[in-house]
Amino acid sequence: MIKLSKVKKPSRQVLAKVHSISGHAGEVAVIEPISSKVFIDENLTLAMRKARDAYPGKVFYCLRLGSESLYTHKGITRKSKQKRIERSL
Amino acid sequence: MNTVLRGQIRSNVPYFYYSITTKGTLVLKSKKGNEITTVDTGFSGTIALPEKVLKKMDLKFVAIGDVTLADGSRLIVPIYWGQIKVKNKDFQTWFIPGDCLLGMELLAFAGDCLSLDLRQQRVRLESHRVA
Repeated sequence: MIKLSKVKKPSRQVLAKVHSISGHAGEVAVIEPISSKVFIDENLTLAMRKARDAYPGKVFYCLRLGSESLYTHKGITRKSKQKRIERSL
Repeated sequence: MNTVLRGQIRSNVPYFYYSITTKGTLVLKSKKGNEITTVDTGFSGTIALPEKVLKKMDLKFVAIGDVTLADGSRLIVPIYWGQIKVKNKDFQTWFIPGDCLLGMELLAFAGDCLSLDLRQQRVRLESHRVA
């Protein structure tokens, strides 16, 4: 079982620097947390291939530039949120 | 256009089929009788599979990432790296734990055009690329 909390993440400064990279909005950044090396490509598969070629066996941190999350899943929301929406109508 | 995958629509949900080889590769198929995976155009990733299926595969834990679910909640998920085969084409991509879902990133890798025949209850992934 993998403990995600034990996986090293890049520092806030590194994350802020990566998020400030311009010209790549919507693309995926894969960060090697120790060296802070960043690999950017149009999707995670391509960016991860570059990262794994350069740092085989390492565990990376991934984010989407210009977005709060790496990927999204649209669908039905929880009941509590639906009730809030119903009340607001 | 070449047909890459054929699937079915059941109860308004489009499905393709898959199996796991003894070497731990995920094979997407057009044949019935295999396991089914939902074609989910609302999922921007590649493939989500239940943990019990992921355990049968030859996967490496390679990363973590923030994701946003349908209710707007965010969480950090493990990202695994493994082999996939789609119509004689082998490539490596990422997997996450979840329901059985094929997302848009995977569909775009494997093909060029996703068509839903709502009368015939069929779904098809096609490619402009020469095989």
